[in-house]
Amino acid sequence: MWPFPVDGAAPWPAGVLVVLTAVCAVLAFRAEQTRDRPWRAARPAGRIGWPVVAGLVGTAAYGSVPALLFALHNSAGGAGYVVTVPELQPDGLLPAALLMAGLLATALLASASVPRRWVMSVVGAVTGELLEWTYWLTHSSAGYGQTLLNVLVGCVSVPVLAAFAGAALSRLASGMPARLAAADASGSARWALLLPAVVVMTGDLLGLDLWQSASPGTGIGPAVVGYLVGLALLAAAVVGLVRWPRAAANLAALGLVGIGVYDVAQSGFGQSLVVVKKFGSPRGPAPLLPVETAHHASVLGGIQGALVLALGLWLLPLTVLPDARRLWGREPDPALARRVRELTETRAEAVGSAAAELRRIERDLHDGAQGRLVTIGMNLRVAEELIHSDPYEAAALVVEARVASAAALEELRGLIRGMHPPMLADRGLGEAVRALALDLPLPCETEIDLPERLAAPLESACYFAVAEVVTNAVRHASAHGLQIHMARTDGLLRVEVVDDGVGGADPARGTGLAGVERRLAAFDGILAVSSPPGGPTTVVMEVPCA
Amino acid sequence: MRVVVAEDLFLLREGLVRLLKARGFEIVAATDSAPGLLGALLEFRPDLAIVDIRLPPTHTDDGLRAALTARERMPGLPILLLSQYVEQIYAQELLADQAGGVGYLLKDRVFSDDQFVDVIRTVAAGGTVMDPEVVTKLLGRRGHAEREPLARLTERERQVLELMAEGRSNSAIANRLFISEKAVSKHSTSIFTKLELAPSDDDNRRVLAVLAYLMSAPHDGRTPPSH
Repeated sequence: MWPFPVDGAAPWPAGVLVVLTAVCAVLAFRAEQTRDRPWRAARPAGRIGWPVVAGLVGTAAYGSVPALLFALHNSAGGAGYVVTVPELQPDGLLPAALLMAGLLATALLASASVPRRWVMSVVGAVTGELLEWTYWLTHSSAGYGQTLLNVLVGCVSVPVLAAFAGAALSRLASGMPARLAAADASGSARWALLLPAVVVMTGDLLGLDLWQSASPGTGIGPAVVGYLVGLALLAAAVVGLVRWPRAAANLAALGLVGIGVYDVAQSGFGQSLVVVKKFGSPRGPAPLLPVETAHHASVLGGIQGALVLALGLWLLPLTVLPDARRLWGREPDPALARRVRELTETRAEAVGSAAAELRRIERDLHDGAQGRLVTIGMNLRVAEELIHSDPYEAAALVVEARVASAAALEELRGLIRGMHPPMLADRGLGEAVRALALDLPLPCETEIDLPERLAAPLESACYFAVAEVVTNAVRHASAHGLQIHMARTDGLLRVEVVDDGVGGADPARGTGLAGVERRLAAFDGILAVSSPPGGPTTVVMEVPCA
Repeated sequence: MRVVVAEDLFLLREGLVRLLKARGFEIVAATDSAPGLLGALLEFRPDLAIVDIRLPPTHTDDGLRAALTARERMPGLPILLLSQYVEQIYAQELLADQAGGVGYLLKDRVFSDDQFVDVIRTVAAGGTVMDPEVVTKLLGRRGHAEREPLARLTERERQVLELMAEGRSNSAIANRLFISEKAVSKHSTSIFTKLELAPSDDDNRRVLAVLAYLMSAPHDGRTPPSH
């Protein structure tokens, strides 16, 4: 399974891969440790960047094709590898490259910056092609039996494979942060990216010949079938990690532990166990190797096994163990816990703002209508006394009382509008917003598609949210016109308010928009503002209303 | 004059009935719900219905809907809406048939009973009366003030237009503004010219034309704000 020297050469390339894998693991480890400060954590990985991940994917593609080419070339018997980096056996290159790519991508995902789509494909394909041609130029006369067919298949299939893998990776990377955030609050689901490497390594361990060079003389058929099955398994691993990131992460962690244990055991017993012919693979050509080289390979394999085992063990408490505890009911589901936290917060805010509103109404009533009623009562009382002795004065007092009662009514009307606009009670949200638009001091177009009434608390919250946004536009935006679109589709109420004003509205700067956001949050609603300087300003609100 | 009163607050209903009886109106029915109102209107075919917008059973706009239903069956049936608040949408719906004989007032206006009785007589005679608050809202749209022909009106013409929209006759406007009736008719001709409306001597046609103009104006010849 691991990079392995052939023909008794020094095992240094395998050592290089061990070191590189260790570096990638450290980067991923750091990213995990400092997940709350993604940019800082991702800086070393970020410098290496997504193109390196793409390069590794290209290398992995290169590593997967030789198995096929070897079979093609050696179907009639013979020796040697057709396409390979000098001194680097391709069947070790594939899992090593995939493992490094997974570790690096895991670290990079924390930074949430994703490269342009074509970068991955191009870099992957170019890397594959470069490896192919490097080999061609250095080994064209080395007697490995180069045929035109081999070169053509290699030059075409490696870049095509790498380009596809790169495209899949970029799609994955662009959709991954959101998907992983949804899958797991703690973010450890990112480790699902290790699954393809685990699948390939396991395949190698089991000696399934999927990505291994077939023995000479096995024929084209089994090699091609094995290769296609291998690709299908790899694709299934990718689909699995996208659809069930948590489960994939758990599987990857468990797989790493298993492979690590196996590798370490191989290293310890590699020289004595008859069945372990080649490190990492029960059927390799290890017995043919010189004793010293086999020893080096065992030591290196042991180091790599220890590395993989350490990675797996370190991942266990991040992935498998919490899930297991959850499964046994020892720990709350993080999604549920987050929901409870949200609800507690929004409930506290809702109760708090309702209490504040009641206090405001109490104060308004006390200072306004209540005071006026007291005055009216006093006036009438005095008028009652004066009605015979000074009818003119009494009449004046009664007039004063009538004026005060009109003023009290006016205030009550204003207060009621602020509490619950009559139009909202009469006709519901759509008509109330239309009435609001009609009463504005500037032209406002409305496009409202709300055939049914919504729940009363929701109507009220949405009305005041729209009213606040519209008031902002009128007061601060110097707008000449407004548009309000409101529609309910698929259990979601969507309201869009557009003004042609000066722009520059920012919910973070403490205008009423922050209050609107809080008010909508109580209904799991959201608010989005686009307001470039110079306008126009678009405010979108979305509230579930199933 | 035979009047039907629909108001769900007992005290207010009794107060209205007492006020109207004292002024010589005949109250043929006083009801407290929308179905009761519709029944009374169809049965008694009164000269006027005074209707609170918000009535049982749903306590929303049942009164308005019952009154509009009755008017569909008896075109021109004079309706005077009373409410604690005014809404342009309700005014639009009331004026939609352009037939006149409608009024829309805040309940506060009942306090000034002379004026209130004038309104009742105007509406019963097929006239149109709008609460000053409705008219203020209509004139308050900035679309008018900045780019409509309304901007060309003089201050005095604006005052005349406001009173005209409320449904006042030339003589009432003259009294209110302390000018001669002749001056009022001169101003009104000038207003109609500036607003490009066909002149009319009929008071009611005139009110309806002005209200229709005010309600439709913001959408005329204007492009919507661009995205």
